[in-house]
Amino acid sequence: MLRNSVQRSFFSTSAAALAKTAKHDVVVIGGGPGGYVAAIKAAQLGFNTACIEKRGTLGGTCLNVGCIPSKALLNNTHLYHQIQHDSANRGIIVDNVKMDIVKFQAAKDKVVKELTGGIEMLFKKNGVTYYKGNGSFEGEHEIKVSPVPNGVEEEVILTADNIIVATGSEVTPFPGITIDEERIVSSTGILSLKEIPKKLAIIGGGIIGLEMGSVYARLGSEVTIVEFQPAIGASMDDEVAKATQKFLTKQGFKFKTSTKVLGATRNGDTVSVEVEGVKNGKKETLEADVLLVAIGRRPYVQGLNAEKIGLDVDKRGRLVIDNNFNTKFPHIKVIGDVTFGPMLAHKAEEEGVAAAEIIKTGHGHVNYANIPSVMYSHPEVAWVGKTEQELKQEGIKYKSGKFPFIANSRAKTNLDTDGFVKVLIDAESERILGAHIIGPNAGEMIAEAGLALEYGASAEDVARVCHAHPTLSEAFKEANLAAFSKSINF
Amino acid sequence: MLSRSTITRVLNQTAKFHTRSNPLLKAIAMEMPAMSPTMTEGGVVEWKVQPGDKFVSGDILVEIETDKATIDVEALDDGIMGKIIVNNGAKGIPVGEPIAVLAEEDDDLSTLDLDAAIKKSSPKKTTPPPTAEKAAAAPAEVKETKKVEEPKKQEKTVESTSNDDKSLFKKADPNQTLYPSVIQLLHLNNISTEKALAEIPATGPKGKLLKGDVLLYLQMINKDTYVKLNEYLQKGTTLDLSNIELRQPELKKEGEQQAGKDSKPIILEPIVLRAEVKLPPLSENVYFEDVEEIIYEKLQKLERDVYKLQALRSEYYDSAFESLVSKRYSESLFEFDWSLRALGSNGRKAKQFDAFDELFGTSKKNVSSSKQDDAFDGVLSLNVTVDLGISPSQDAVLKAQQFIKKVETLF
Repeated sequence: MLRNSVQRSFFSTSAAALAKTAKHDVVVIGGGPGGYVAAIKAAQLGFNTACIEKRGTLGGTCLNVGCIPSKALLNNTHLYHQIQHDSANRGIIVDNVKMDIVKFQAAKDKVVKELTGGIEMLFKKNGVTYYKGNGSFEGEHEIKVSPVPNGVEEEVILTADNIIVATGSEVTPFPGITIDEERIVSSTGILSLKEIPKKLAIIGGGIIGLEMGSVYARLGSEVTIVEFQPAIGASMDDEVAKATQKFLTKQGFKFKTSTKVLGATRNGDTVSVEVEGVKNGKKETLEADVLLVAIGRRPYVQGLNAEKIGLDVDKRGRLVIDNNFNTKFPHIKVIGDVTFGPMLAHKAEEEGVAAAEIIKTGHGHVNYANIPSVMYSHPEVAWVGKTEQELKQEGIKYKSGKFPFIANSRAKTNLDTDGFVKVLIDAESERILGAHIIGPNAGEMIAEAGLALEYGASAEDVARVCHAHPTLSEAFKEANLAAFSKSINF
Repeated sequence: MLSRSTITRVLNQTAKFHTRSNPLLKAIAMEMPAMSPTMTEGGVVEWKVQPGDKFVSGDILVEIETDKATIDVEALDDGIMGKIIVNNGAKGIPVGEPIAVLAEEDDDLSTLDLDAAIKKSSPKKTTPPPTAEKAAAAPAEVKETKKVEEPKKQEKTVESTSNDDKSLFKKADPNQTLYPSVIQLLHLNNISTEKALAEIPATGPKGKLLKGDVLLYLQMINKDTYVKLNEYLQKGTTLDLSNIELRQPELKKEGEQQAGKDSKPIILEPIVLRAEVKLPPLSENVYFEDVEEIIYEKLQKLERDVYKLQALRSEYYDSAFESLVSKRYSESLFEFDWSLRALGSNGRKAKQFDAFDELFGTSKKNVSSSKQDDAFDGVLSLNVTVDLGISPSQDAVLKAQQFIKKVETLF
């Protein structure tokens, strides 16, 4: 006799009828800086809030594979570099300085783990329901949470009055170059290299490329930056970008600007990068142990199933919104990297708060003219507001006030005097239009410029505020003084 | 007292103050308010106050109907309903059209020229203003009764800097702490703080007086340049959402070419692909369980192989790249179930044989073609489900099709 036919099923077939369901006032898809902040704010405003994240840990790109781990590497390599090259000048003799790459990486991982765990705690504290799974649209008000490893065990269908999409961004791949995260790496892989490459080639002279280049240059790598544009530093003020390039060149960086990458191939333990001069068409091949592809980021919507409800996407992959973050459905809002505006964690955070407030009160505020950018190289670079090239293009008459850190007493005592503060003001009303700082602690100092911009302050307003002595912030005050009058100490 | 200053809170807009001072008028026209930036006309559902009725701040004056919702309009100040111009049930009233005349609480209605207020108000604007702040000059506060928000419009209104001085210059906040530069300037020019706050229009946030405002008041700077600067700065405060180029869903050309038997276009319900594959005749020496076991393993391997295929360029994302950058997250592109069914009625003998070689002919020696009579004619039926709910659609469908193709050529 033949057996009866046997049927086997290898995957649990989706049985919507059996799925668990839950109802929330606000469901946030994505637990990065935009999403988790939106979720906490919404919960604080009294909404029954849930947040869906599939990565396994909260904090998004920023905390897991972006801002935070890179800053851990930057700070620790800076210390190492200082001990190696600078401490003797200060009368501190340290012998036998070595790197323990395993511990160095472990220190970074510890920080990431503590911070991501911290957000889970904040969720508990504020009563945000956390679904570890993939959130996808089932309908205009229904979101399916599908299981991921170590996440929800079965599918859950959430119904929500309001939905905030904050799915973030991913690394933009370079056409024709396959990232293997071993020898050809993205900004994710470069954070966890198991050894220090002798030669590191980086495609892209933006913030990510220059920061990661700094990390490995301090550890002894020979770093070559290949940039298609004639200048590095993305949206930096031209003068500051030039100064940055000068300082980094002093640290051993090699720059190939106006250079196009044709392709890259891995040959065992090395990578060959084919490049061509944009102006002269001269081709050459760069050999490197590791190639970092850092040409930018692009919106991430995989698994969201935005197609299902027909959310509009523009040609660059961004989910389309209006000025209140609304998609074509007024109850579905989109914030952060996956939509318009600069791809910055702090921009997404502001939008997260504003989106939650709009749901509550109908009004939320993000001033896109006042979003600071910081590059954590050494010296740091930070800016907010307009650049000189923007003002020239618009035909705004402006005045510039500059103050070098070499004339600042604190920078002097720290033996850390590279860089300057530049303040751009309207020629007539003397209102501050932009601030550009390259120098020690620029990233901290830019907050004062942001406050001044927000309140429409004039250079005089800042210059008349008492700044503690001796501090680096006096340089900011002096630059403002220089902009509308004359600086005292330079 | 019914002041001429009006406030309108419209949905997500900022509360805007509008000062209308016209000392000649005792009565004031209440115009059809704009409940949203895109509202062009509305209807009167019901007046809650009748002519002669007194109302106090906070009373609901009228229920206004838009295409989205019905919204109560509240009085901001105390007053009397003078005259209702647009009666209950009227629809399609353009924004800005007078709908009633209101008077101050101690006015004598019999002596008031109510019509003058209407004429003064004058529905001169046939098209509504692009921004809410210009509309709705009614002494009323709009309060939502339903949660309504405007659906996003494709054609973005050009950045809503209503390029006139009135929206730029606001009345100075009388309670502000003056900026150091302002204190200095006022002192140098012998202007008292009280005078400055009363007379100098402010451009800073929430009515803050800026140095430029005082310089302009002192005629020390050029007004046109100052206005131009402020407009330029204003432009940057919101996201530039003009000229959005939408990505058009591509026609699924490749999908149709690739599809062997089932060239369904991409739809959003789960797609089920079916295939029936006849097994090669097997000798009687093969255990059914072995056949099952082998097919099971083979299918799994094929599934893995198919996953590794170069992904199709998706319109939204590149899943091949994604698999590299987010290794931690894995999802199945499709699901399949299968069954093995015997044609024929020949019994199987429980006799050990190398089923693998039988099926795939890897070892010739055991293939027995002479025993046709006892042959085991099996059919493998396969259902492959692509759940577009969680999968990258086009890529998953293609891979499912590839999977079926591979299964079909398995034997």
